[in-house]
Parts: sequence; structure tokens; C-alpha cells
Amino acid sequence: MAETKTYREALREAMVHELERDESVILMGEDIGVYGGTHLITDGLYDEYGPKRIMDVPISENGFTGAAIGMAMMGMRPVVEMMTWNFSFLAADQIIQNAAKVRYFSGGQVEVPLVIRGPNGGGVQLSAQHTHSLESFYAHFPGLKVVAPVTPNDVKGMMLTAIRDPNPVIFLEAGALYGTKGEVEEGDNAVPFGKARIAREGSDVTLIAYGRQVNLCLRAADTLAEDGFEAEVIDLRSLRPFDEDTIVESVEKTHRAVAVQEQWRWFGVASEVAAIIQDRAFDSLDAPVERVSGAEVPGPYARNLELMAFPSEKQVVNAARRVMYEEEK
Amino acid sequence: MPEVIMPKMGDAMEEGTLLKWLKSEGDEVSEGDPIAEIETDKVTMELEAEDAGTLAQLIASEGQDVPVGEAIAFIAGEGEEVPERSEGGGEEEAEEGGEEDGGGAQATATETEAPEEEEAQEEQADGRADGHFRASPIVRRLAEENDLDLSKIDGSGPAGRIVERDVRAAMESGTAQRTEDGAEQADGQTQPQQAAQQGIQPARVPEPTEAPGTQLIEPTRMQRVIGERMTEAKQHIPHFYASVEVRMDAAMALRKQLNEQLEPEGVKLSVNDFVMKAAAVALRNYPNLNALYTSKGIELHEKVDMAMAVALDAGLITPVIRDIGSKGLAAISRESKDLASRAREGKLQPDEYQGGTITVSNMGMFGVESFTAIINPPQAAIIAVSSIAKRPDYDENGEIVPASMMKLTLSADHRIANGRDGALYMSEVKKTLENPVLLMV
Amino acid sequence: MKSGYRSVWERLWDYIRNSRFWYSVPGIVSLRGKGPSMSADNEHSENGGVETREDGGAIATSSERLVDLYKEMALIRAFEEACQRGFRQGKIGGYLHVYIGQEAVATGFLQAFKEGDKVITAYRDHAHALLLGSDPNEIMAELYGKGTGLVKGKGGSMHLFDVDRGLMGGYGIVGGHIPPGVGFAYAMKYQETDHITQLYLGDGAMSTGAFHEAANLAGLWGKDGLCPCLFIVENNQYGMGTSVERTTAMTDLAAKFDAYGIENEKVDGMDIEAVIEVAERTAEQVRETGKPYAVEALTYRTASHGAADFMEKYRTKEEVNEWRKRDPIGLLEHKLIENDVLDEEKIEEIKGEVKERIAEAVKFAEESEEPPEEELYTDVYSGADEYMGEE
Repeated sequence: MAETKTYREALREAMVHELERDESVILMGEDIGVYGGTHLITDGLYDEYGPKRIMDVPISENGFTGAAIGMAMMGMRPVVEMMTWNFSFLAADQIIQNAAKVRYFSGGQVEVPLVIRGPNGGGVQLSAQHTHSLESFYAHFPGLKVVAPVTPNDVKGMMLTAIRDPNPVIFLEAGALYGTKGEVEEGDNAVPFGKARIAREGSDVTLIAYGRQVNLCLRAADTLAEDGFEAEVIDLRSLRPFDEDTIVESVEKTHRAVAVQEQWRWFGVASEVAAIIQDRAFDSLDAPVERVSGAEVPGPYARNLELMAFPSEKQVVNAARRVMYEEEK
Repeated sequence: MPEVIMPKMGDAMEEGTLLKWLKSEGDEVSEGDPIAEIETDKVTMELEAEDAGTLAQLIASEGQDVPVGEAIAFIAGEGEEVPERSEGGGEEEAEEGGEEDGGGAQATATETEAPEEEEAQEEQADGRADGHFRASPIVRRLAEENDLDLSKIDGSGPAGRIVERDVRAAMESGTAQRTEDGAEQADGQTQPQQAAQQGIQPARVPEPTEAPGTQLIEPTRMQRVIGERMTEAKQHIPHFYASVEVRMDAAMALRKQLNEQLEPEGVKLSVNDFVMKAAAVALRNYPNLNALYTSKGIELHEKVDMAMAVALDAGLITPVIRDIGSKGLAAISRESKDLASRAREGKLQPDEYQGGTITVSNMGMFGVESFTAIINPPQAAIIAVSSIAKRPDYDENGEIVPASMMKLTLSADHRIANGRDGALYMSEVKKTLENPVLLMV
Repeated sequence: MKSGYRSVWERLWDYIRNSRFWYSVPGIVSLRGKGPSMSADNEHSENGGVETREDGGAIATSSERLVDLYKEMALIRAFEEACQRGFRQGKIGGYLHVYIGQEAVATGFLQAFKEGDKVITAYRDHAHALLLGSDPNEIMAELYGKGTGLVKGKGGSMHLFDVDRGLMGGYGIVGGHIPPGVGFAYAMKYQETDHITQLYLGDGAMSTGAFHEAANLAGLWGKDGLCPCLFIVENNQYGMGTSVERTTAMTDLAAKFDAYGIENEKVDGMDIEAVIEVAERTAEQVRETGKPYAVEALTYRTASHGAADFMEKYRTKEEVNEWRKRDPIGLLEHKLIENDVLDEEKIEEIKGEVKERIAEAVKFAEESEEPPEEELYTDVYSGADEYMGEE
């Protein structure tokens, strides 16, 4: 059974599912309770579950994220909302120094079943301080798991998995897609981490992305198809753990790959994708792996500049054409 | 005329639903009057008029989802007409607003690496630098698997890089089989399998009939190599042929005389020694027949390294007499006998059968009247030597006399030499053999 | 007292005496009556600074208990001195922070520890582990980087954990452990237990944002009885080499908790009996109310900040010597002898016993194997996918 739901509804549904299933689950964040959440993800939950489980917290990311880590170490399962991931830098010490590592430096004596979630990425004219894609920042650290679902079905299924995971999970939501709709499986549709999704099958070139850029790749694939090129689009879904096999198998089939990311090019996920491909599928490559990334600038405000700062469909199409040794368009 | 548009009311809002019109077409509205109720994915709110006038046209209907920025109504000032809706412009606007990220397609930034690549391409148009071929990894793998010679494939990628489509095309046309050192062939493959991999149409190789009285044998490794190389030579080298008939009486007489003198030294000159020496001497004036067809051009050789075909039970091999032009008949004789006998014993070293500049193939001992040979790539030419037979001939007086006649047929690569070169060369060989003293000069 | 040199001790007690704190917080037991008399004509250095309680309050500790406390503190001291030796010999790597001079604080507060309670502290954590009953052998083996260590050789000196005994860890980033500690307390109430969290922090941590954010949360949750957290400020006067006065204009650290609605007081952290009195009373209050409470224990690290910190440019020898006269072990020893509980011989016997015990720990540590190589890859993640890299 599947029903059409928005990304926002699917996300809420997953959290409600777990709030109902497991008493140790609580939600915590700024304005998630009485206000209903800046993005209305948690709307209505405060009335249902009360202030002990739907905790409004003061503006103190480091403090409440750290407190949630402590709760998790005590066996609770907190789901912390970063109003946007841009604010998580304030909590980075807690996330990186404590959540990611405490299991290791305690010799395995504790675990941190914690989810930190919120909208990631820019695209809606929020300018420099509110425009970040933080996946490679967090995926760099062993001890964290990092996921970035793009479809409503995945956001629900991966949130179920995230809350049940005994490790800290960085749950990067496609903030710009909260209102988008898609088929969502009813009930418990837990989606495992570390498994990429083939969003579109193709044989000529592999486009690899995650989060919002998957949709960009799908549009680029449609454009390429008009000229007779069939692009395979891979939605990574999960960045740590990372599904190398799906990428490698696809490139062994298509011999050409383009990795697309909204974040800056240097030291990003796309570079990791390129490295993995050259490492494991070198003899299948017909062209160097291309990366399409954001411009190396802080997020600008003006719409035209912002559009230039993000990967465009045209850039993806042309990168795909270049790796196929076709004229750019 | 002012439009009323679907406003953006949140950072992630893409579209809103027009719930209800609060005014009707033709109603007068003032600035700030609520005119419609709209619903976003977060809120329901009243939309207020930003201009005063007459609500001229309600474009959106109740319940309709409208992308942010798209007009839902027009407000007409006094005396203004409602415009025809411009579909094109409207659509474009709508599309931009409707993009999940607000219109990635509108971006103007493109990566411009192409000019650099073009420059590089000019520099290194053939994709080959210092014997290193620019080829993508998949191309190298395909070449390895299918025994292709990348030097025979032109790259269409940047800076002449050989890319997959180039090698696929070459495999289809069968123009890139490796020629040097076929011994690198992978074992355990049948010829049809290989042929299939090499792009030779499998249809040309029929299934075994398996009829009574037939026997299916695996070609030997050597046979496969010979087959492939000869196939390639015959398919890719434009052969032309030139035959001459040589009167061998003088040569035979000289041979007899020399053999008598050389007997104590254990030397016995063969007719083939004479032919080889003559072919080598005559090459002095025809350097383009002592040449190799290489990836970079025709390589003319000063010295003649003459390959001689030696038949083996399992196939044939062509050991090489190096710099034959500088060697005397006795030396040639000794060397050719030694090479031939060791060839039959399978004791040749690779450097003894590689790298000839021209080949002589002699089937005179089998009584053939004439034959033509397939060029041994990358050499430019091969000479087929037939048997000597007594034939009636005319002497200078027109009298019929018995003569010892032998046919020689040149096969030459038309990419290297033309028919005239071949003809003149063969007549020089003929003249040399018929005046064998020239061989001693 | 040298002319021109005003001892830190003097300054310290000045501020305790004069702070608005004593007058502004009703119901707080004043230290003034209990602290050592520090008037100019009655310097502690002259009378040993021992146990003169001006309020004449009964000392609630029996002789036997005092002897036990003495042994515990002596064990900590001997352990820390062995660590310093091990560090100098190059057998202990990384950072090493010892508790020498501060023993009475943790020893006193952990007298109020009940099973199920949790303890969290920063990196000066050996004493807490020893006091909670962790095996000295395993602690020393941890410092020696051995597989038999308390955390399998993965944490070292700064990261001692003994979760079964309530030690939720030593943490290396100043202030960073405070938010999780507050989270423990919330979880204790959420899980409907009557446990409390003893959260140890240093004076240096009180300048961090993490402290202020966490204290704010603790006060907030405490309003609903949802934060049974006992903050224990181990004010040893210096954050590394920077004195409290050089880090904040408002040096009354206990009073900082007022800003977050958290009741607080100070205690002489060199006086084990005073510490125990405050610890038992405040721990019970926290347990009963579910509200946080803060105690600033005034103490002094007579050892250097880290074992590698030899220069000590930030303080004078005189100052250190002044504090040594109030060494918590020395004070208790003096008292025990004066009260005829122990004699010199017995004291030496105890010192000999703990040294022997620590010598055994050192031997155990030295003889233990290093962690097996496969341990490199374990404990990164919990659950199925423990390690994500290439081994």
C-alpha cells in the first residue's frame, strides 16, 4: 500500500511511528513544540506527546545537542532538530567530539543512539550564512552516519532506520523539497543505510547525486534522452556508510560518470565518488569522471547569482556530454 | 495592467492552492482588500490586493494549485483592457517558479574546458606522444582482451585520446588487429571465438557440419597466429604482383663450379642462396621494397634483413639472415642451412625470426610451377620462388634450345611501392640471376 | 609573608568573605564559620590550618571513616605520583593531568554517590575512577596504553570510563562534557529513577559557552524537577596557567549559577570533612527535588597542570608552598595524629600499603600486552557495521 504524501508528512509520519513504538524516543529542538516547528515538521506533536517528549529548547545548539548526547548515552533515543543545518556549527564540538567518538574512547562501553535532523542545502535565497550543504563535513568523521534522502518514501524509511540505529545519525533533509509529493509506503518501510537507489536506469553515462541534486540529474537525464543518450541516475541516499558497489556496477556498464553535488567542489562527496570509481572501476572508464559542484563562493543572495552558484541542469547535461565525447550544448 | 500573483510565503514554498475567491470578476477592489484565500503547505491566508482597480479576470480557479509567481488574476485600472494572456511568457515564468530550486535551467554558468582541450588536440592530434597512446582505460582493456593494435586506431577524444567508440568502430571494421608478436595471443580460445572478438563477422565462420567422416580439430597455437596474421595481411595490405621467368642455366653452371671448389669446406650452395643474394643485390636500387609500413610512415632500411620462409610440420616460420647484402654466397648458404635446420628443430631464438625487411618463400623443391605469396607485415614485399624446369627456349640465333627456367613472383604493398617499382626490381633480379657474375661483385 | 607578595590564599579568602554571594543567597550555609581562619594574626601556616571549626559544629565523621578516607586519598596520591614517574620514563604518553592537591574534593563528594548515580568529569579523572572502585591495575594499564586498560587502551588518561560503576567518562575538551552531563540528569528523571548525576567541572570550564548553555538548560529543566544534576566546580585556581582572576571579572564562580536559577554554595575543598558534609546534604537535596545544585570547591592543584608543564611561569613557588601547607592529605593526617587515631608508624604503614598496591598496578600495566591490532577497528560504531574502512 502506498499513498501520495509530501516529504514533510512522510518525515513526521516516521517520527510519530517511532514515538508510538518506543517510549525512549523524544524530539528536541528550537520551536518544535508549541510553535509546531519552523518548517512545521513536528506540527501537532506537542499536543499529542507533551513537553517531556516534544521538548522546546532555548537557542543553544551546543547545549541541547550535548544534552541529547547525554540522554542517548543513558539509553534514550533523542531526535534533535537543527532548525537548519547552518546552526549545527555551534554544536559541532558536541557532534564531533562527543557523539562521534565517545563509543571509541570509552572502549565500547557506551553507545549514542541519536538522530540530528534538519534541512540541508540552500536554494531559496537565504544567502551566505544560511546556505550550506554539510554532508562531506559530517561524513568525514568516523563514528557518525550521514544520510540525505530525497524522496518522501526514503525520508520516512530512512528516518525509521535512523531512530532505531544505535549510532549518531546525521539526517540531512532536502529542505527545499519539504512540500514535494511522492508515493510513500504505509507502515514500517524502514530503508537500510548504505544502499544507493537507482533512480533511473540507463546505459550511456552514470549520473551520481544525493539529496536535491538527484532531481536535477533526473531532469538532465530527460534532456539527454532527447538526443538519444540514456543516463543512469544513482541516488546515493546514504553517504556514511557509502554504497560503492552500486556506483561501480553502474560505471562498469556505462563507462562514464558524472558526480553532482550542491556543495563546493573541493574536498566534497563528488571527489570521493570520483576516487572510488578510479579505484575500483578504472579499467571500465572511457573518460575522466566529471564533477559538477557549486561555485566556490559563499551563498549569494540575488536570485541570478544564487542560480549561478548552484549546479544547473545545463552543467550536468554538458558534463555528461563531455564524458561521452559529444559536443556541448 | 497589474497582475495578482501567487505570492511566496515561505522559503521552501513552490506553489499555493487557491482555495476560494473572495471577490468576483468585475468587482472593484481597493489596495489591501482581501481578494482570495490561498493555502500553502504551511498556512492558509488571505491574499490582499496590492493595487486598486477592477478585478478584471480571474485566471486561477478555486482548488487549483498555482506555482509561486504565476498570475492568478488581473486588476484593471480605469479604461484598461484585459490583455490576452501570453502563453509563452507565462509558461516560462511558471516553469522557473515551479522548479524545485527555482529554475536550475536558467543558470548561465557553464564550464568552459573545451577550448583548452581543443588546443591540446592541435598540439597532439594523433594522440601519440613518445610511443604512448592516449587511450581511455576501457580502450586499453578492450585492446588487451581483443588483441588490438592501438597504433592503428585514430582517437577522436581530446588531444587525440582513443575512446571507446573509436575502438568499437575499429573492432567492427576489423582494422586494428595486432600484427607484431602474435605469440602474445591468449591460449584456450578457439579461432571462431577470437574472430568474433576481433570483429570478423561470425557469419563467415560456419558451425561445424558434424557430418559422418568429419573430424573437428583445434587449430594449433601457431596455426592460429599464422591464420590471423595472414588474414590481416591479406585483408589490409593492398597486394600487387609482378612475375618474371628467369633462365637459370648460367646460375646453375656457376653453382656447380663453385660447389666443386667449395666441397672441401663442406659448403653446398643451393639455388635459393643465389635467388636470395640476387634479390638482395637488386634491392640496392629499390629501397622502397626493403621497407616497413609503420604507424608513423614508411621506414626504409639500408641493410637487407632477409627472411626466408621455412615450412614446419605445424606451420611455417621465417628466420632472418641479417644484412644479407654484405654476405657472400658461402656465408649465406651456411647461415640459411643452419637457420632452417634449427627452425625445424624448434630451436630458434625470437631475435632470429623477428624483424626481417623482406621475405623470400621458396617452394621450388616441391615442383610448383608458380605461386604467389602473402606479404609478411609490416614488410613491403615477398618473393615467391618456384621450381626450375627444363623448357624449350630460343637462343640468340632463334634456335630452340633446352633451358632451365624458374618463375619468381613478387608480392608488394601498394601503399609503399607502385607497380613500376615492382616490375623494374623484378627485371633487375632476373638480370642478376641470368648474369650471375654480378652476384660476385 | 614576604612584603609585597599577597598570597593567593589571602586573596582567595578575601573574596570568599567579601563576596556579595554570602549575603544575597538566603538559606545557603556560610563557609565563613567553617573555613580555616585566615586573619593576619592567625595564619593557617602557623597552626597547620587544621580543623578549627569556629561554629563548633560536630564533625559527622567517625574515626574509622576518617581513616578510610585517608587511605583513599593516599591511594590517589600514590597513584598520581606513579603516573608522573611513568610519564617521565616515557611509559605514559599523551597528556597526563594529576589530581595531586585536589583529592579531598572527589573523595568527599563520592561519599554521597549511590548505586545508579552517574559521574562525569573532564580529563583530570583518575581519582574519580579509583574512588568509584575501578581496578587500579586497569586504570594504570590504560595509561600505559595496554589492552587490559579500563577502556582497552583506546582512551588513555583523559578518557577513563567504567560505566558499570557509574563513571560515564573523562572528557578532553574543556566544557564539552557539561551538556551531556545535564542530559544524563534529564534521562534519569525521564526514566523515572531517583538517581543523580555528579558533574565535575573546573574553573576554566566556566568560561565556555557549553557551560552556560548547559547550566541554562539544567536550571530550566530543574524548574520541573527534571534535572537532578549536582555541579561540582573543582576550582583549583587556574585554567592551565591562567588564574581565575585573569579569566573573569566576576570571580565568584558559585554565584554564576545564580544566573540560571541554580542554588549554590562554596566549600573548602581541602577539608575532607567539610566536603563530605556539603556533598551528602546537597546530593540528597538534588535527589529529592530533581533540581540541580552547584558547589564550588576551593582547592589547589599542587602538581603542575600537565606532567609536561615544568616551567610554571604563572605561579610562584611560594604560592605553591603556601597551598601545600593546606594539603588535604596533610591536614587529615595531622588531625588523625592529633586525635590519636593514628600514629606516625601507622601512617607509614598505610603509605607503604598504598605504594605497594600502586606498585602492583604499575607492574600489571608494564606486563600487560598492547591492544591486539584488530582492536583498532572496533568500537567505532555500535551494531552490525562496526567499521567502514579498509583494514
